[in-house]
Amino acid sequence: MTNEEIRTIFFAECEEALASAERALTICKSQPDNMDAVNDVFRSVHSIKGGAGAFGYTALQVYTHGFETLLSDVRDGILPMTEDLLSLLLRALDLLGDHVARALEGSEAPDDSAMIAQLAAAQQGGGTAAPVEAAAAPAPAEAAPEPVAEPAAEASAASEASSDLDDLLSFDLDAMLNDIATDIAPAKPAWRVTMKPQASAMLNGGEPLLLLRELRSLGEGTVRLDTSALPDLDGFDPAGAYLAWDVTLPGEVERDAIEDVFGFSGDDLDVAIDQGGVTPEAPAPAPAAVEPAPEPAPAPVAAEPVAAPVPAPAPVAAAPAPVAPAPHLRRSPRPWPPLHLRPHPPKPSLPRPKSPKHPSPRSSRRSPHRQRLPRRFRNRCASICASSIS
Amino acid sequence: MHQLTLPSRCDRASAISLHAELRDKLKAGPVAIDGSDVTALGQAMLQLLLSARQTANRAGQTLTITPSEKMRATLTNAGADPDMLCGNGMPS
Repeated sequence: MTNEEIRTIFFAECEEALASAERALTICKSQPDNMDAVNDVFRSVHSIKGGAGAFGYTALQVYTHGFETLLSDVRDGILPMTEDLLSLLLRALDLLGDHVARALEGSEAPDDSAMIAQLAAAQQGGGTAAPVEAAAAPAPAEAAPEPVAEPAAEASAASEASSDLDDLLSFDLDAMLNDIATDIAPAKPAWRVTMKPQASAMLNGGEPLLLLRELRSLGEGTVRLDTSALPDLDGFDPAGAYLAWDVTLPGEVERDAIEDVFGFSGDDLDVAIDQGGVTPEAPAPAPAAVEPAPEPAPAPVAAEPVAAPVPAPAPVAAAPAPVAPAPHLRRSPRPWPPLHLRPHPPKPSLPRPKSPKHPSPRSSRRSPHRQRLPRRFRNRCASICASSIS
Repeated sequence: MHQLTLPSRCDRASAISLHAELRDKLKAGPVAIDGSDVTALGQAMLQLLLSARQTANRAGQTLTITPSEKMRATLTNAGADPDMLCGNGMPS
């Protein structure tokens, strides 16, 4: 796949993310407390940001960063979804559409300094903050892929690094436990996701812990931290990367959802996703700690408390040998191709186990028979190529 | 007992700036790290603290860490036992 093709896929993804975000914000109009919808907006913007970073659309990346930071506070309940806030988010989404369109054309990014200031102000002042009249200084934003471009607006003061950490900041353990504590019958072998960030994964604001959090939001699982490579302080390079994780997720989680977490992350990560008779035992000799079992769910949806993913004699992948090798994939900033390398697990027939109370646009997209991402993108590419790219 | 205070945002830069001091002070004697202001903690700081815990345990040195609630939650999310890291008892 050429860079141009991947770039085309990126813009197809942007288009879909914009549409998904718009649908979700529409849901928020009538259901301000619909956190699924808020989360959809967040993920859409986050996805665009990741691709923007990977492709060097700095202005787009900076803008989505400010947008996403505010959304994370809404998602985590720090900011209530007021009418003012919703209005701001809709305007911010409009501008995001402009940003994407300009990036696609290769023209100069729109002036977003006022909007970035408003987003920041809304985050500071809480949901009741009136829109701030920010000085709309003409921002020399960069549209061309120019990785060293100076971020346009000073108002986006939050550096990439620090505000990615805002996600961690607003992490809510209780909410997460409620989210993941839905019990699931062990119909399918558990997923096992291993993740080892490289040192470069933490550069430019990359934060592997956020990916971990995203993974955990997919379903009840375990997280095992592997510290076997961790040196003592004398041999410790603070710019290095020494940790690895081994995450198990219910077999009912769709592979797409897991891959989505790493899609466009743009970081150097060693990631392997496996399913099929896998026990959560880590090969690593010295896991530091095992995640304690989540607290009992306050609102058990399905019964059947499951102690552990049972390595039932799986119909598929019982014998690991004949399956294609390459369980470990080094993720590069070109995200898609490696995912083709592994064969498909059987498609789970259940939707994501997460609260299905509100049919969100995103989850509705995940029909069991839907093709995986690359196929979807190929279709999208076709239409975009026809209309926009000569 | 040497006191160190973690910043609110424990990002990569803060881990880099803390490393040398933490290493040197832990060699010199007991260290107490105040993490009560921590609102965000990333992998860089997480692994630095884990290394400090490992170093202290191997050397028989005293290291205590006082985490904020956010910090505890992040540790748990990352599969690190907050109590074990912070030195509040060693679960089996």
